[in-house]
Amino acid sequence: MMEWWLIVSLFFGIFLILMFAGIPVVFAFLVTNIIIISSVIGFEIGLAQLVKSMYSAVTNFSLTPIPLFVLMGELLFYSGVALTTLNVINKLLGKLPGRLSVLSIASGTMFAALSGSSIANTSMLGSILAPEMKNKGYHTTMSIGPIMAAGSLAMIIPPSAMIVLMGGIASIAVGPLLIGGVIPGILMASLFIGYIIIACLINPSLAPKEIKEEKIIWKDMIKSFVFDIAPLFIIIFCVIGFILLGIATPTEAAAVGTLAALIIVALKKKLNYKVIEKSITGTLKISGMILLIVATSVGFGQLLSFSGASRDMVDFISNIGLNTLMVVIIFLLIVFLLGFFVEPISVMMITLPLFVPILTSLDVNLIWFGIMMLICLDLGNITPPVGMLLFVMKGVRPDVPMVDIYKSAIPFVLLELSVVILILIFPSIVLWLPGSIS
Amino acid sequence: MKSLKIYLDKTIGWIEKVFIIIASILLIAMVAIICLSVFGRFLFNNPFAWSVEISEYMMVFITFFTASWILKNDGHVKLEIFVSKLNKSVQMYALIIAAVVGAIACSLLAWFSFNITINYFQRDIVLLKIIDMPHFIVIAPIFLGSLVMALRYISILIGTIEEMSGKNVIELPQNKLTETPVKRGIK
Amino acid sequence: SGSSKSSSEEKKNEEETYILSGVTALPNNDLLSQAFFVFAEKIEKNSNGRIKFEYKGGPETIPSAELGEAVGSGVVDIGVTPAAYYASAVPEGLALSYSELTTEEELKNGAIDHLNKIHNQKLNVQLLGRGAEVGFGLYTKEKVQSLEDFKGLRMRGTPTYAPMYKALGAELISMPGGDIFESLDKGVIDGFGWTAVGISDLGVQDTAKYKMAPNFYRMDVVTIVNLDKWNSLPEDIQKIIMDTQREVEKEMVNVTQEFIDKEEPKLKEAGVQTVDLGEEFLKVAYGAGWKFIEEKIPDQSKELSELFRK
Ligand code: NA
Ligand code: NA
Repeated sequence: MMEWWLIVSLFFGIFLILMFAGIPVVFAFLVTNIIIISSVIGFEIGLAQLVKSMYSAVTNFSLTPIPLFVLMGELLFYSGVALTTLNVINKLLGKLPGRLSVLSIASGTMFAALSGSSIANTSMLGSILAPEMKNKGYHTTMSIGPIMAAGSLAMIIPPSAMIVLMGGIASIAVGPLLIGGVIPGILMASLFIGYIIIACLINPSLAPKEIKEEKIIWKDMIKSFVFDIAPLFIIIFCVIGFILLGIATPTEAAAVGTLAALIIVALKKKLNYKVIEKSITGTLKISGMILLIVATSVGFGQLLSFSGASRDMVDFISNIGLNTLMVVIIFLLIVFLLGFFVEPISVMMITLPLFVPILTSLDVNLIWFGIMMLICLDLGNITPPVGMLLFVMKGVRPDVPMVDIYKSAIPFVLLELSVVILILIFPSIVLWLPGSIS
Repeated sequence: MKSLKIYLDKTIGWIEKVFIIIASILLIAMVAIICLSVFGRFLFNNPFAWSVEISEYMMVFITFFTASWILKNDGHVKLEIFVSKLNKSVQMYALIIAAVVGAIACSLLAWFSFNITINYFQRDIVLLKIIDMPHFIVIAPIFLGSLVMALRYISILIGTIEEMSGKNVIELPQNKLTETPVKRGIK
Repeated sequence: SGSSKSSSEEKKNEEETYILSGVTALPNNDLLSQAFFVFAEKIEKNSNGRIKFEYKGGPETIPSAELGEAVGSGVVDIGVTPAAYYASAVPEGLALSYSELTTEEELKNGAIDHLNKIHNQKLNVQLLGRGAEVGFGLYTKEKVQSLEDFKGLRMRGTPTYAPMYKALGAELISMPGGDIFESLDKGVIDGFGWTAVGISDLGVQDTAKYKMAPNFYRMDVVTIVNLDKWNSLPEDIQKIIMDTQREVEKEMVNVTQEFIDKEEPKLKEAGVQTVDLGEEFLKVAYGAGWKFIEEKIPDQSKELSELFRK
């Protein structure tokens, strides 16, 4: 029998070589699976098994919110409804230092309550705000960083496809897990905003001083509140409210939210063929890419487990005799480190089935751990070299070198890590809200 | 070779278009079916219990019918940080290797999913849920999707070789996934 | 010379060890997976260490719905799985759920033998026998007094329950297991069907206040072995495995009781009450189940009904 660490390094070795050779992540997974399954199970039956497990992976009702949440975001974006909202919020923020950076976090928080996809949110915010910020002379650390941070909130603040996925894999109750993300999400957003304002005050060159002072006409504000912001609250209600009122399951709520978005866009007379077409193709591109990664990475995780490597690793860690807190920290560290290279959904697929039995045996609250793990997974999106949001920003601002994009993410990575530490010390940040509701 | 590629591209492009239309329809249908199921349950005593399994089947189509089209638009996330540092001709070789590896992997996937589709058809395997669904119908998208992906990779391979030998200068695929669709500013 | 060769072969066989890999359709701590571990322990003892079961893992290794096929194709040698999970390949296995006999009666009247032949043919597996001794239960949020009260109730279930819900006039709601807690709490569903033991794993005992009695149907967990692997085993090894299977079946009664004993205090503490619906309930449940078999497997239903019904 091969040692577990040898098998694990073989898995990641092959995977990393393929990825560094420029092969798309999904095909790097696929090829690694083919190579390893041929040697562990056999070429003929192994590959047939691979296809079947890919089928099983995508025919999972818990995954349906992914395309649905993305569609909801795309509809709001392409119809311009999202932009109108941004304008209103922008006016409200007045002379705040780093106004547009703060705006990106504020609106990102709001959209996070609407959409479950960090990728969708980042591309939505990025495409609206990034060019504007460049024109106004914002430093990349104050434009690209906040937008990615804002986008990443989508995964933490419900609804979140990632949370639903996590609940399904680990059989953690999805409802409390979703609610558990609310306070950490708001906490993260507040820290981001605090950091931006302080950084801009200390170093005014990061953001331009807003010269033009727009007078707020309250009559207009009320009007735009009713017509531009209120409709978005209806959509939020349709997603979160329907779950809380027992009308829809968490999985179904995404579809209701999409329908609500569609109706609101139609009522605002923004619904036309072009909007629909762009929203749908945009959705298919993003969710197709994600789902195919899911399909191939699930097989990756299953193989890792079938080879016995994961079981041995689990035994190894549980036999060291660490205390519960150390195990939790090591697990979070594994997630964080894997996140540098591996896409978050895949990290979750690989690690969660290994962690859950140990955590259960240690009596660890899975909602508490789940949210911390979620933030660590979320970090994977903005840590180099592989990070979906980093790639999205590169797409929105092709003129910025990749290294600068990496650099702009660093402060926000540290802020998110500090939230994880806070939750580690004060579990009630996560557990209070789900506990008080049920 | 060049005419072969044009012919190949035309065929694949046409199939991809059909696949995308099907996937779009299924996406809309999924929203409609799940909403019907929610409201049907809430307002009437009218269950659409099959909405769950139907949505699950639709996911297979949405995943595999978009795969090749995303590949064509270079929308599958990849890491270029290392390759982009290499000089142009080495980069070309890397692209060729990537395309060969991709074509082989997708061909294998296509071949094995084809066999499973046929096997499920011959064994008459029916998914006994609320609706009885022949299994081969919902596993076939994996075969169809990976077959087209394999062909798309072959087309990319030919294109890269052609460009390398300088016969035909083509544009390298751009990442259209994250391309800014509208550059609208704030008022 | 022929006899000397066969005796040397026999000797060789006695020394040879057989390692069989196994996967369970449910996580390793689930009652429905225990047959594997009981089997593994007993087989090693009964064969003096010549047969070893090597556990590969649960659904994180092979997706539950694919385990039957995976055993058939030889990805893994042994599978412990509910027959309903591979019902698309062997619908006849559903008879195990709706069976009205005891395991002993099924073995005696050739019901399991008959089902094994179908398994050989349709899935390329040898059906060793049953793996857990537990029934199904219905759980509701509000008190149900009679069968009439089920009319219009929204019940979460899998297709196994579908015919019964229909007969009771309840609505079948499908949803992932992870959604049950939330949906019951918020009222998306009024109740759900589950194994007669194990609802505390879902954490729903505080919401699902009522459990219907008596339990109905039988858990259809079976142990299956890849047929080619099975045929490659010498007869004495096959015999040891079959004998051990009979021991496992008896032992599973105790194992199930242990699970029930462990869960009972939790249910008691949460105040879960039992509502006795009487024989009438069973009549409806079994009637619906067998009607379903008649509809789905018309060519086999008569024979299955003769073998699995009283
Ligand atoms: Na969200
Ligand atoms: Na990363």
